Amino acid sequence: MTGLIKNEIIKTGKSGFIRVALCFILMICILLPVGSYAIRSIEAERVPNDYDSMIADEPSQVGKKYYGTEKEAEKFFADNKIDEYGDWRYDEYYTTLQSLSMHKAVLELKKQGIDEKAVENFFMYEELNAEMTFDEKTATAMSTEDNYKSVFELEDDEVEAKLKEADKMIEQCKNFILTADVKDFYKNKLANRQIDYNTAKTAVTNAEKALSTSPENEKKKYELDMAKAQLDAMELSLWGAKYVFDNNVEYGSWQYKTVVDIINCIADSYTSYVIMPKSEFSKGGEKLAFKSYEDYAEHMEKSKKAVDDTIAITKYSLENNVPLPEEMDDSARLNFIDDVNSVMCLVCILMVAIAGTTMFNEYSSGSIRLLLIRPKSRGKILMSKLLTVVFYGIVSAVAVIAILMALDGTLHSDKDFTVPYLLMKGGKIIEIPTLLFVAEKTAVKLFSSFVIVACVFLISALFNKGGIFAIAAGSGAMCLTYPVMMICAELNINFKGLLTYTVLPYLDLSKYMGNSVANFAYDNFSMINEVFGGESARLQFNPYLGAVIAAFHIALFLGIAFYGFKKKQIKN
Amino acid sequence: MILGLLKIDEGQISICGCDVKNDFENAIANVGGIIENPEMYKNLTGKENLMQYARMYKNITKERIDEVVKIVGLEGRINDKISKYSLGMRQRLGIAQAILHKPKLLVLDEPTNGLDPDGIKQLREIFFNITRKEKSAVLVSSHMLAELDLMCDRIGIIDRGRLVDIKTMNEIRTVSDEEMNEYEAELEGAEEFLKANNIAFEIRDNGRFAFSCKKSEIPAFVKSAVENGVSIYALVPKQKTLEEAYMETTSHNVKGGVGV
Repeated sequence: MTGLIKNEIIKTGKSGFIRVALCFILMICILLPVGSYAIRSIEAERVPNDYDSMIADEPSQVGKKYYGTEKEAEKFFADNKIDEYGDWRYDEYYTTLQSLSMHKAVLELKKQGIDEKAVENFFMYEELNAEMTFDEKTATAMSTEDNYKSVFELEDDEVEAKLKEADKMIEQCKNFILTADVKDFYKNKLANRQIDYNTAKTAVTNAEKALSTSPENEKKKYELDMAKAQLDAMELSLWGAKYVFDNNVEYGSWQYKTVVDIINCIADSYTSYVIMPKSEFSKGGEKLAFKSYEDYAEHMEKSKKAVDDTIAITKYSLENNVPLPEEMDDSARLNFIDDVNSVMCLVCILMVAIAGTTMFNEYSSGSIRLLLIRPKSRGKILMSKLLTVVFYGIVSAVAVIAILMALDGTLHSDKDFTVPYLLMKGGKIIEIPTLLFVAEKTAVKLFSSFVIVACVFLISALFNKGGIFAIAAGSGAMCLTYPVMMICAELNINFKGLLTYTVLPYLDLSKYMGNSVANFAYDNFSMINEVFGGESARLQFNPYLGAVIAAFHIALFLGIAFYGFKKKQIKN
Repeated sequence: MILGLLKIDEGQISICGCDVKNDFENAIANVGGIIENPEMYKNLTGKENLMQYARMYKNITKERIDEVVKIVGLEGRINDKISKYSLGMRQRLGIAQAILHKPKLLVLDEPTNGLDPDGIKQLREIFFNITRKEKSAVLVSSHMLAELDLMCDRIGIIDRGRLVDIKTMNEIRTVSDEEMNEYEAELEGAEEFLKANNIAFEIRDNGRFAFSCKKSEIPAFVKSAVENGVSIYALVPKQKTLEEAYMETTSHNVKGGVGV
């Protein structure tokens, strides 16, 4: 058997097609870290905006005003020697100051008699106000009441009053920027969070009262759930602000970013994560997405658990001083995990290619006849080919991990390989060495991809001309099935019932591994992330059941391949 | 079927006492084979290909590989990739892989397919050498009857999937005493003698006389011809060809195959 395996390894290694594939994987292995390093270097040398040219080139009066407000804001910070990047005053208040100035500019344009359409055509004015953070309470009021439409409904005397109010706010903002220290900023945040929390608490009380009048009303139950979720969100947000304030966290540190990027992002979208994905629940009084309240409640519980696990991991990170890789400036660990994950897809395709070509080449060249007239059973010959696929998969995976570890470890500034990865297992948070986590994830990825590999191997072993078709179909299935599954699952949750017991959602079980932090962080919760980020899969499918289903399919495909090959007639 | 490539529908094939169906590994360990053109791994060299097959047997040394390379006369090109080999060279490499493990039986299926006359002659010589040096029995399956005629000692004729006859080449070529046979003779002054004795004859393009008679009549014919002043330079009996034997055995059926 050893001789047979050695033969197959040599034959595969000498195959031009496989050599090209190996070189391609090696090239991607090098390009991924080097490319991201190069992109970061380019980003660091970004040229500041030339506002004078932008204003000169801008044809509309509104546009000129807009760029003028940006220029003014930049000038204010420059005049006061406030560094552009990494200074909390610039980061947190540039947009606020510029938005307030633009608000004032729109009022002035109204006073000059400019057409409302001209403003509307340039941009949605309300979007400007949406980012105000200086005085959130006032900013929120402005964004809801004083949007650009309402500005154009104002009488002249009201415009004058609003202009004075805007001047006052701009002055307050500038004054705050120049006089406050970061502790004041934290305090300001904490106060605003406290107000939001109190508001949410009142909303829950009101929803409870509404439900008590008609306890069986499903829409009111839903509204209470929503209010409670909002309260949970505000409580989380308050926790984050309190953590930052109490610990006087350094601005821009990983702790600060963890609160902003994860805690605040989850808080801001908490209701969306937990309830809103299927807001159609009450749309038009029809239950579009759920059969019943219980059905909806079950989904909500799963969503809530996923979010709560992420919150728990994030809090653990902050309280135990274990930075999440997502929050490091340039984490070698995060890049390593992501790069390995990306390149492993190619390794899986390599295994598919080897599985498809190993028998196809024998049939197409006719060498199968000389191979089978040896004192070795067909079972042993096929097994040696299968083990060669495994061999190349494992060796390539180990090489990929080693190369990426070396390159990512060298090229990224945060050498955080020694920091453990945080995982939720059995309701407990555990710390696991990064390399071990990557190795486990890779092993699971290779295992689950073996469903396709076994299927391709089966086609290749039994059909003389099936190899190339099998490779194409297998690679396509590997690349497309998972996103297609997620899109299907997203578009119609009832698909779940059909898909759960098929192998399709489990062709890459590694997507179910690791914590969900990246899926919830960075305000990233978009449709794309929802579909491709893995959260849908995590919520809807059971990876343990998936492992059993995958193992069953692998055994089935290989069983048919071995039986069929043993019985196959080899004709001239 | 003998090599295990096709399913054995009925009957039994035994090689050195081992049943091909039930004891394949032991049975096939005694067999080497070439099936039509020996297709091997084109991206490997000749030697690497031989190494591939050597690893599937026990105790095949590097010296043995060098030995078979020498037998088939590929010493100068054995380290070239076989994609650069001519058909004849690949055929010789095919023989090398077949005899690598000193098989007791060598099975060759259409071994001269696609070879030029020079290649066919070389191949034939190699086979003769192998049977002498390696003491292997060689089973050739082919439709090239003229080639088999030159190559084989014993012939088995298969008609519609059934083995209908087995004969040695001597048996095919030998004519019985009382059987009419054609003779070709180089004679001088024989025309009148033949006419006088009522022997039907024709004169071939090479000037020889062709006539038919029984083998038992030849001594009397020679004596009488000489006494009548005919000079006899050659008298050659026409031998039966394999094709004729095949056609007789299969009742002019064009389908079928010949081996041995």
